[in-house]
Amino acid sequence: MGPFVPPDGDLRTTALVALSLAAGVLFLLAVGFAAYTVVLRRRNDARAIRRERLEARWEELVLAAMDRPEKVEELRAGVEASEGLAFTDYLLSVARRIRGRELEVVEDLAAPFLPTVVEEADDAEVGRRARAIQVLGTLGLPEYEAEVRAALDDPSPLVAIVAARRLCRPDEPDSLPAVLATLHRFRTWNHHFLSNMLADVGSGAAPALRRTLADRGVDPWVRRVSAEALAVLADLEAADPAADVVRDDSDPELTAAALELLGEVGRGEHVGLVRGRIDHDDSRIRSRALTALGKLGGEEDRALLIRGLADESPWVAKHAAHGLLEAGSSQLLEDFADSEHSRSELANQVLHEADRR
Amino acid sequence: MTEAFWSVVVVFNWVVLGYFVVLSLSYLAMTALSFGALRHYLVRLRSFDLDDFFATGGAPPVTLIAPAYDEEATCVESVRSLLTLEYPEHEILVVNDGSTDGTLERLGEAFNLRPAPRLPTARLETEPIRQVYQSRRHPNLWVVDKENGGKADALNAGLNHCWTPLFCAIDTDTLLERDALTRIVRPFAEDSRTVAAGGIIRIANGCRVRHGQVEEVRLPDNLLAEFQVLEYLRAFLAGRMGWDALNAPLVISGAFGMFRRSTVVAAGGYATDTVGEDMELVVRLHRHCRERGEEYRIPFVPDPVAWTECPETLGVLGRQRDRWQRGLFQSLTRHWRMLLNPRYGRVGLVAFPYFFLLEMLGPVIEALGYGAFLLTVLSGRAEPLYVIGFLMVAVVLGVVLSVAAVGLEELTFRRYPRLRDVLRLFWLSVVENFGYRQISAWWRMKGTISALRGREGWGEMVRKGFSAEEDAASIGATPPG
Repeated sequence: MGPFVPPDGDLRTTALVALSLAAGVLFLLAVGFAAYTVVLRRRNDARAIRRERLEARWEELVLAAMDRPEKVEELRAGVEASEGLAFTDYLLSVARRIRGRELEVVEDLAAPFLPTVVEEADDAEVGRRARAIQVLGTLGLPEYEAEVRAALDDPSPLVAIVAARRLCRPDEPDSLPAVLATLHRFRTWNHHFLSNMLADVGSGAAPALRRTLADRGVDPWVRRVSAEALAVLADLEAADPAADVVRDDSDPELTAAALELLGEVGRGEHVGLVRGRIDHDDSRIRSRALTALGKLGGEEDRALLIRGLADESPWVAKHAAHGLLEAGSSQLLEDFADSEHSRSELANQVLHEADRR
Repeated sequence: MTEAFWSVVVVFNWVVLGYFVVLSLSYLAMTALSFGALRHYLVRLRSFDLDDFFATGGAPPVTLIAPAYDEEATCVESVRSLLTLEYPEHEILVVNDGSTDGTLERLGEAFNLRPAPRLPTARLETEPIRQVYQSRRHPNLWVVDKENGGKADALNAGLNHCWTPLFCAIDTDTLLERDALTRIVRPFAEDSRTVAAGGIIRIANGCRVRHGQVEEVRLPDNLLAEFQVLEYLRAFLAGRMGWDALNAPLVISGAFGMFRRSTVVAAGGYATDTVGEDMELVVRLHRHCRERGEEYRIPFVPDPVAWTECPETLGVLGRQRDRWQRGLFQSLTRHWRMLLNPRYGRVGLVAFPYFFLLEMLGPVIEALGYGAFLLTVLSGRAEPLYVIGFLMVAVVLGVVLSVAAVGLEELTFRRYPRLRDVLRLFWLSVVENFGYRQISAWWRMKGTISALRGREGWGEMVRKGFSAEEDAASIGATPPG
């Protein structure tokens, strides 16, 4: 026995042999995997070429159908049943770029292949379900509205948001209550996206949104998103529910959103309410109140906006500066910018951004 | 040499073998996790319409903060490339960190800069600001000129002047793909708990770059650069994706990462007393959020791509790896309280120990281990079975991991269109284990030792620059001297 072999030589040898064998097996697997990768590359390249040819053919078909909508059925016969899912995928990419009559033609082309897509909506894989709802929601409404609505309750939030987005179609407010009822599931999503999504429905969405905003039993976050959507729609009838929310002051983000809404649609009688919030403890509320004051207030409020420029928060001060511009008081802001005040640079910045300097 | 010495060598050899087993099993586990995670991610990517999302006004405004120091060779092209990014609302904030060359002058000439007011939104301590400029031609382009303070200091200066809810920290010599911002912002859109997200860095050496965009992807001509392509594939596709699957990412590349401004400012901004400010920030974000009981996410997003130039000489590469290792050391030792601390969840119990033991201390064992192995073999005292076992674990498993990373690339993004490049990567998976891996371990060991001795500084980095219509051969040219 050499100097380097510890007493338990057999165990060591066994371990080394086992290790070497395992590594050897892995190496063979790696070689196999590398070979598989090369085969996969060849296959994918061939598929890509085939796909390119198919899409070129489909493009001609779609253009022909748009030119002669009465020929849709005849043209559709040129797509084989086995190509159905791929064809609907292709039509989805086209549908994203068109509207109106052309979209109707694309929907007609997709119609016979959508039952296959419906089956995918029950797939165990989240991505497949989401993709299916995407297709049904873009190409299959109103016929498949039930399936898309059902997806609002899908266990996966991704599937649910895809369904919600597809149900918020311009001038189709009937699905909006169902979307609002599940909006709380998307709490982690960007609220601008959600409010714009709801506003996409158009003015027909306003009644449902107003009811949600006014309902104290609804989650404050959902009410906030509703307020933001109403601001996008500039819904004049939302002013009074927004004022009630500001009076309640139950949730800072909701109150801030309601103030922003008041800034868009409020009336003279709401100025006092807005004025009363410019000294609020919460900087988000102060910001929105100052912007709203700039839009709704009168001459007597200029001094309050100037005072807002000295707010401890630069964000609030910036809102005050914008409020002065909204109020048509750019000269006051310019005078402030030329002063020795510590916030004069901020005033300068706002004027610069507004191209006034 | 005495028997006692050789006994120590034997024991050390076993320690090294054990280290390689643990290291390789960890990498294998990460790679296995990555396969599943990438597959799910790609399916998810197809199901979500990013264009529709942005058309619906879902894109938050973003500021790109790009520190620049003596970047006159590349700054104009880089900024031009940033201006062409496809994103609804973004500002570019170049921070000229006291450059001694003509960086500011070149930017001024190219973009018609003028002094403009820009109030700070935060008060992170930085070296004095000399002037803030805005481009007359591109109003969303700003340049903050300041006294030299280092990269972290420049980033903090950018952060102080950032008015958007999100910012993206990039290197000025990084080329972002046109849709990189739209892709990296996605986690922030999907989940408001997201405080940071990292994208993937790819090697631009050898690629055809035109008008600030990589038009044709090819492997470099330079062997060192080729090895780095492989390393980056392993690190990002296998490594970071795996940590993302475990929800315990500890690193976001300083060349391309998106952050929530308010959280980074609340956490204190970038640390200016470390060379690894990018990793240190991410570790600190974990601490900051967990210690405050705040829900948060830091995902890795594999599809937004940033292209960067990698070193092509041993000297420059060695200095880079030394610096990275020192940065790693500083980031981890600064936050040693997280090690095996259940308060920090999987980050403290899994990620931190992994990086601490295998990535920080491991190179010392690895580099010395190669030396001890060679010594044992050359002295004729090595058992054949041990030699085979060592080679299998230290080399074969390394090949397996690299092949798996290339396979991951081929199964997912397939950015190398030429089959011969893919085959070459497979070949490099074998070759890198005979020289490159060993010298890398040596550099990293030196880095760890330097960090222990308290060494600071970046060393000299040589930049060649990208230029419009340059072909693949000239991008890969070795600089003179």
